[in-house]
Parts: sequence; structure tokens; C-alpha cells
Amino acid sequence: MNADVPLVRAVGLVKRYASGRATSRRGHEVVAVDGVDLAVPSGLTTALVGESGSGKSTLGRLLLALEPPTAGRVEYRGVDLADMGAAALRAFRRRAQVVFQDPFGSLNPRMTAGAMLREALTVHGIAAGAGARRRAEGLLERVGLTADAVDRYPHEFSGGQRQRVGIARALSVEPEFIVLDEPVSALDVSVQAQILNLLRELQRESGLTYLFVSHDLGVVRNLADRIVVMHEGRIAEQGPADRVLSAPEADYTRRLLAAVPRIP
Amino acid sequence: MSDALLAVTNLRTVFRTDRGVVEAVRGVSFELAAGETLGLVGESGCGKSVTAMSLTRLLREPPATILPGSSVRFRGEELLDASPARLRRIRGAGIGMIFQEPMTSLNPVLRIGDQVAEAIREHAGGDRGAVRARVIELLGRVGLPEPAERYSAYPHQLSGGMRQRVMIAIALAGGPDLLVADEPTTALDVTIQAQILDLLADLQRELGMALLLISHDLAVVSQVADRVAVMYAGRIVEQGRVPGLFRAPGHPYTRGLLRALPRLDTPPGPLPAIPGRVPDPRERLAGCPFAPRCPEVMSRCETDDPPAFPTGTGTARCWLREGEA
Repeated sequence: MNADVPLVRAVGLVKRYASGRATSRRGHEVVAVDGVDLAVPSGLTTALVGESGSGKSTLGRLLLALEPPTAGRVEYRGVDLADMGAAALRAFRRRAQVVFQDPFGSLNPRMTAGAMLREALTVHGIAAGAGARRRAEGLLERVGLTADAVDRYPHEFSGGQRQRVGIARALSVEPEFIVLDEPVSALDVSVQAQILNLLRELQRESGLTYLFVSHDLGVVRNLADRIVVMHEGRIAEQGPADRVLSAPEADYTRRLLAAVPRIP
Repeated sequence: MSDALLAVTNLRTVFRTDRGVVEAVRGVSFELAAGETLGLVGESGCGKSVTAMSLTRLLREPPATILPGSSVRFRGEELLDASPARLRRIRGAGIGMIFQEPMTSLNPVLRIGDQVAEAIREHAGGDRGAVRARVIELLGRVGLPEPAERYSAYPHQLSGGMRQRVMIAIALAGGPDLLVADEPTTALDVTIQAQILDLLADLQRELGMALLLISHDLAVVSQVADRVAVMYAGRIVEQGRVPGLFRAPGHPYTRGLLRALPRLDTPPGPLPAIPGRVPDPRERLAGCPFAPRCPEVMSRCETDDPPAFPTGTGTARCWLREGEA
């Protein structure tokens, strides 16, 4: 593959929703993403920062093909997702994974961590039966849990352990690209540090590409190579993390940085 | 007896559950002077919110019980002996409270102006016109644009930041001497958070109110507070003045938290995380509760619970500080 081609690229990406709000007029539309051009380089962490309503989470979903764009396109390794056939799309869905703020938020509380991992392994035809169980144990150990976690249920894990299980599930299908959507926002400081360190290690070991969606600039500073600042559906600014944080060019980035509370 | 506005002494609050007695607050003592801001910080489950709720008996009892020997004195009056009627009077007129999520505290089917008016009427009389004028004055004071027009708005028509401003107006309606703010900006965006923190600081200066700010966020607390109390496993492990406590923390837990926090002014790279996890609140503690995770643990820490020793800026419950100051 050509080294100049980014792993993921968005060109002229637009997403509009019909507004469901009772207070708005009929036919009113909300423009969540309003013409975004973006390149996510391979093997690095690109942070997508912004406040609520900035469109950062919608953009994350568009890049994962969880929603179709209203206009524009998303390319993965130079191929438009809209042009992919069923087999190519299935392969893409395996290579591109997502970790949410609370990975158990949408899960069956009666499913053990092991059952969840085995399901992912089986669906993608990676392993089955006893092989899948061994693999699930290995994955849980890789994210810093003990192998006996396979038989435990969501409520038996702490918040930090749950996030480790969520990361193990994303890793189970050997992805290249992971969208991390506020993965440490619900965690306490001491646990947050453990998860950030884990994400860094996994990236170094496996050359993963991260899109790190976050509102916390301290966390972004810790992990990001590049920063994309979103504001009202558009990119206010993007560039190398050091440059964006030390010499912001957009007014909005300056405002955002000025609002961050700092310890004396 | 001290002349503090609020003096909390050996507060112990437990919850009786099916799985045993949870000791949420295990002997908390602190004082707050008139006009002062104290930040109460700690991670989930450390007991900071239960401490706040215990002050004006907002917890359901049972399952909660405030144990005998606990004391909460406000303007010299023991609140733990106060009648329910007296407590209702103190809530609002003496101690105002705001919480993290204003949407759950506001009534969704009532106009915001009427909700502020109700809070005013609980503490003072006045005809309709006077109450309405006071509502509009309060809404303006907390920074709600066009307060007269917004009187008739419903909570869902306001942004999160604007709803929090309305909650602050309600808390101020009775003219309290103390405002207790439990994670008031946690649900808000960072630019809105900065506005609300500025507003709280302005109001506090202008009205001479004391502020008890409860937060998980060390940076937020460091911006607003005069003094900070750090809670761990149901007790205050360190108290001290700002910025001294942040520059030279006296307790290894405070130091660990500060080092684990990713900041804009620290370079990228692995963070020194605090190993292990907090003790189960159902466990009886022997010795220092932080001993199992402490990088500087000594043998006596496992058996002897340290008292509060003076540090440069306050006190810390750590044997390392014995005989230092």
C-alpha cells in the first residue's frame, strides 16, 4: 500500500438529521457534520476534540460506517466505503472497532465476559469452541485482567475492569483501527491513568491506529499525536498535537484551552 | 467551641444493606469559616457526597444512619438534633444546595420562574409583584440572559449551563450563609464549566457566602477553593490551603492522584498510576486505609491508624508527617 494514503480519510463529509425536537419548526434540519475533510494516519493517535454538539461523536460513527453520510465519502485504505461489496464491508467491520464510554451500557447483563468475547470470535470466524475460550482468556490477560474473568458478569467488574473488557472485545477481532469514544470519561483519575497506559502499550505492540474522541484536553495531551478540533460540525483546526496545544491558530481552540482549569 | 460557620466533628454515616453494613463516612471532621470556600475532593465511593447529604439530613434514614457521636454544628446549632421542621427551615435559608444534574432537580412541567418563586415564598412573604420582581432579579444575577422573558421558559428549553444557573438562583432564594455545591459542573462542557465556576466565585464574594464545593476534579477545586480536603475510604486524609496543598502534598494519596492526572502542562507519556483499588467499604479497617496501595508504606501503617499531623499547609493523616512540622 502507498505510504501516502492515510488509513482512513473523510472527504467533504456531511451529516444532516431531521430535527426531532418538539420546539423546532417542521422540516427543520440539524447539521451534525458540516463538510469535514480529514485524514487519519496509520499507527498514530488522532484526537477528535470538541464540546457537546460539536459533531465529534457523529463523525466517529460516520468513519465506522455505523451511519451513512448525507454527502461526501469515507475511504478506508483508499477505497470508498460506499463502493465496497458485502465481503469487503464485512472485512472492514472487522478491522474497524469501537470502544465506548461504558462498554456494558448496551449489553445483556446475563452474558459473561467470556461469552461476549467468544461471540465476537465466532461471528468473525476467528476461533470457535475450546480454542475460542483459550483465546478469550488470553485477551483478558492482555488487557490486565486475570483469566478467571471469563466467567464473570458485568456487575462483578469495577468501572475500570469493564473498560478493560470493552478493549479486549475490540481487540478480539485483530483490528487495525479503533475509535475510542470518551473511553476514560467515566473513570476515576487513578483508574483513568491505568487505562491510558494500557491503550498506549497496545498501540506500541500492535501498531493500532486510534481515533480518540474526547472532551478532556489533558487526556488528549497525554495520548494524541494529532489533534482535530471540532466546533459546530466543522473542523476549527487540525495539526500535530504539540502545535495545536502550544500555538493554537483558531479562536475557538484558544477559547477552549483558556477554559481548561489548571492546577497551580 | 469554635466560632466556625460550620463545624463537622467525627461524622460517621453507615448504610445497612443486604450484604452488610457499608461505612460510607468513617469519622470526618472539618470546619468552614463564614465566606470561605472549602473543596472536598476524592474518587467515587470516597464518601464526599454522603458527607454533604448528611449535613442537612438529606439521606433516607434508613437505610442510612448517622451514628451517635457525630456532630454537625451550623452557626453554633447542632443540626443532627434538629427537628424535621427546623431542618426544612435551615435548608435554603441557612444552607443552599445544588447538584450535578439540574434536569433531575427541576420540575419539567413547571415554568422556571415559578420554581424560583416557590423557593422565595418558602423563606419570605411578599405579594405576587414583589416575588416576581425578586425572581427576575435573581435570574439576572445568576447570568440568565433576558430574565423577564425567560421567566416563562420550561427547563427543557434551556441548555445545561442555563439550567444550572436556574438551580443556583433557587439555592440563593433563601439568602443562605452556606452554599453546598455537589459536582455542579461535572455534566457541563469545559467553556460552560468555566462560566459557572466564575459565577459561583463572584456570588460568594458578593454575598459573603461560604461555599462547600464537592468534586472529583482536582483542577476545578484548585481554581475555586481557599482550602481543600482530600477524602479517601470515608475519611479526610489531608486538608490544606491552596496552592500549598497542590505544590507540596503531605499525603502519599494526594501526591499519587496529582501525578496520575494527565495535564496540559505535563509531557505525553506513561502516567504513574496508583496500583490496586480502594478498600471495600464493608471491610473493617485496621491501620491506614491507603497502606495497601502506598508506595511509602511502613510496617506500623498496617496496624496503627495515623492521626492528623500538621503539614506546611494543613494536616495529613500519615505517619510520614509525624514530628515534621
